[in-house]
Amino acid sequence: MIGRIVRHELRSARRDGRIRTVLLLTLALLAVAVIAGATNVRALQAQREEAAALERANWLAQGPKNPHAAAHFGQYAFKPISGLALFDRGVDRYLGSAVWLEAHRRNTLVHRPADDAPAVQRFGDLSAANILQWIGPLLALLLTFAAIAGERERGTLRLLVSQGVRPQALVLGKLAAAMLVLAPLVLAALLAAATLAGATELPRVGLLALGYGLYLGCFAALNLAISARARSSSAALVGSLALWVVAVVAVPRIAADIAAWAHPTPSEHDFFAQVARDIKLGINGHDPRDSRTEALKAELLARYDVKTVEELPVNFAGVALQAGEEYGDRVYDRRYGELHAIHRRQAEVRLALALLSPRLALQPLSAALCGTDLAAHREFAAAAEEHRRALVRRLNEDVAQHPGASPFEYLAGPELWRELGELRQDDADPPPADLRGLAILGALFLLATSLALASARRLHVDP
Amino acid sequence: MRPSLLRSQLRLLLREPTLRLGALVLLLCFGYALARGRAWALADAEQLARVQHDVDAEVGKKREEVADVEAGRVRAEERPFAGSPLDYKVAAALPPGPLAALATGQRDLAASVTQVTPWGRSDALLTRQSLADPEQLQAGTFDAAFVVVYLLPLLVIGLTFDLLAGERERGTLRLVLSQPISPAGFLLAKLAARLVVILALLGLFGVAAAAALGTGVTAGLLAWIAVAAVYALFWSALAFAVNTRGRSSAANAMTLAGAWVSLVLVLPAAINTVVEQALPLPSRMVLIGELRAAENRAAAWIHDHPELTGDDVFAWARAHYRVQRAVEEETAPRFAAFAARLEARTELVRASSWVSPPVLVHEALSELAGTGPARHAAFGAQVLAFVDSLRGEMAPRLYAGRRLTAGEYDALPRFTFVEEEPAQVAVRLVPPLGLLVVASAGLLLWGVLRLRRGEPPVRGPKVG
Repeated sequence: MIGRIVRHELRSARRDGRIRTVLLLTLALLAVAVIAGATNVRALQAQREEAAALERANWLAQGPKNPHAAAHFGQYAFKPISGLALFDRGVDRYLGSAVWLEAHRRNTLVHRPADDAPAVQRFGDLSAANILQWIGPLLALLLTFAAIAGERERGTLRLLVSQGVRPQALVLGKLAAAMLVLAPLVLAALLAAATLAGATELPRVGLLALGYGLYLGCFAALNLAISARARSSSAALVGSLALWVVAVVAVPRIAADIAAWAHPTPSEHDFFAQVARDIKLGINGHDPRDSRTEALKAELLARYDVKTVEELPVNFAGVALQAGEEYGDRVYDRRYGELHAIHRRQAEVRLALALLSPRLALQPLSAALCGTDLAAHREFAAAAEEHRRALVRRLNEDVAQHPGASPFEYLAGPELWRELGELRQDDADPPPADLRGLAILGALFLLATSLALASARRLHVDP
Repeated sequence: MRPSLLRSQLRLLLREPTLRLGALVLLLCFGYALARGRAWALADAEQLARVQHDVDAEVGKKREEVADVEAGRVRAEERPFAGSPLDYKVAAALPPGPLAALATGQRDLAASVTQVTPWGRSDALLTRQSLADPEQLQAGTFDAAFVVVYLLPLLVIGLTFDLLAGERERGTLRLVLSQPISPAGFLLAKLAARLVVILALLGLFGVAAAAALGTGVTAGLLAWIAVAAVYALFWSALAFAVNTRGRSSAANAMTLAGAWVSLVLVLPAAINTVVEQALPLPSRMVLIGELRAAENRAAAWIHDHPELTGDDVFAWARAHYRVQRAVEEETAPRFAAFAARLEARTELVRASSWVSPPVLVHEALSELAGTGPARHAAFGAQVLAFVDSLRGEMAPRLYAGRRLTAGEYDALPRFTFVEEEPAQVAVRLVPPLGLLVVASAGLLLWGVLRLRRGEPPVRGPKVG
């Protein structure tokens, strides 16, 4: 029976000029978004290649200098952009794109694309993901708001029920039909994006399709529940529109706000001032840098059984630099660890509030699957930091291996620069995506469907 | 339209549960936004004060080092770098305006404080190593400007989508029009009653903001509320025009919701895309590569010219300083091209805001709150000018090896942000806002003419 309901609904959706127009408009918007996204991502990828080549040449073109001076010159690493970013830029615009890997300091990535964008960007960008997240639920609304209430007003609901159509079957049929109408839209956008991105990761595209399908399904089911209970189809429309405003526009914003309120992020001044204090006075505040250096000196003198630093078979400056570097690494690990914990707790607050808005579950899921979320950014930042530590360690070792009359008179040359490679991250596997959002979407979809079925059970067939 | 008609409509309206619910929700949203905005602006001001304090303490310590040497408490050889002209530092801050709590604008994104020293390069001064949660930045804050730009039109739509169709569908329209009232007059009275309520809500918010922010009723606050009122007028006029088409209330709701989605969500996003595609920025990443290539060249050049650096304790600082200036000189055209592109983008967005009321109103509300892009751009320009003047003062000392004396520290320049004249802000904002008022009037007139021309829209289509 459900099959016949679905076929009937699909036929009437096809005949509805209004639905056809809106579907076509949305499809056109999606096409524009995917093409614009693709040109953007291609340009960014090309720029990154160019910058990386330039940076490599700069590193090799350093003249003879002390390895520690080279460590201060450092290297720049540029974050790759994932192909599927053309579908969903995620939070990538609000994260830095380049990081300076230098001695003593673990820098944060700088140059967020958002820094250079006009203020109008705060309205959001025209990505396929955004269009599906904003307008997809409105299409679901258009397909479902009058589904029950309209039949009731026209008197066809009584007719159907008297012919033995179970209200639950009716609701399920209409839900399935609405999702079947929307499915091609989601699939077209995703397949176009995946093709343009040259994405080989079909499982990710499949998960994206599932996520967006469940998201739109939530709205369709909730609208059906509203339609089954509403006095009239116009009351159902107002109710469904209110739901859309709350779930798509208001709650995501308020959730981000509440998360930042509950777990405030430190300012960069406070953060880096704390790091500087930790390094200077010791992580526990009672182990100042000067006494750490003295202890290191005493230990080395004892180990090599000599009286003065000049008699050491190694360059003490190099050893001290590396010891300082490693102490700094401990401080950075700890403070960045705290910062990341704050971001994680913020994400958890938002995810908890996803019960009020499926968009809060879909947004992080979509960004994660497209490789444009904070986790993907972290993955790059962590690789860059690992590279920085190896780079600086090698340079410090080179200083240590060259004792001399004055600590920094030794000059290294191009052989050393060539030995030290650049950060290569392109063929690294993307980090496993956080799929909690998908589980929440699944649960929300089941909840919404059971709400719709519960409303169908207590259906009034007459207006 | 007669005053008695407006009064009776107002009385009727105030009894409607939809209005009460809508007004309550709006006021709750405004209240939350105001409380959050206030807490946020206070934290922001504290942060600026903390940076100021830390920088002052740092410079104070350097001054003490010089004073110790001057007083003979410490031998000069023990503090070889005391009084180095490059070590002077100033915290340059963009103070939050009195209304910063009303609109976050660009404040959570752009730098509003930076530590200026003659060291380093100018481009680094405004580059933030931000740790902010990107999700929060992307979602945007729930500020009063958001309530106005996004939610206020929804209340307007909720109150106006069935002005005429509602009466028709309930069967009361025929009764009303049997009295000596023109349809246009009747509809206008209903609309005016709703506008009065919305203006009253905005007024209430204004009073609450004046009290909560401790600013009192200032010209800035009045202008802020006035911009919100113009925006409400625009949406009311649009709803009026839609109502006069004589369609069902469901069709009206659909049309107005579609207009909201197009104007508030899709059009601004489309403007973004157009700006990005039409005026692509030179790559920041490539620029970094060029800066570093220039640095390599300058370092090689200074290595070959030891006479420029001398051989005293400041030799290294001189070399570094000269390298950075050479790098800036070489890359200046690149930065100029970048700035020109940014300027062209700003112009394009400004032009597009003439046809996009939400973009216009959002920018106006941010500008009036002192968090808009123009004020941040002015801050950036003033910081760059300041560091240039600071370098102008310190470079001759550096080259001559002349240290700062303890007494000189007290007379060194400090940064003060110079506000833009309110008249300049007005010149920018009033014409497009004026056009918005004219457009609203046009929509109202169009609707009235339609009602006059057509027969009384008593019948209209059936519901559903």
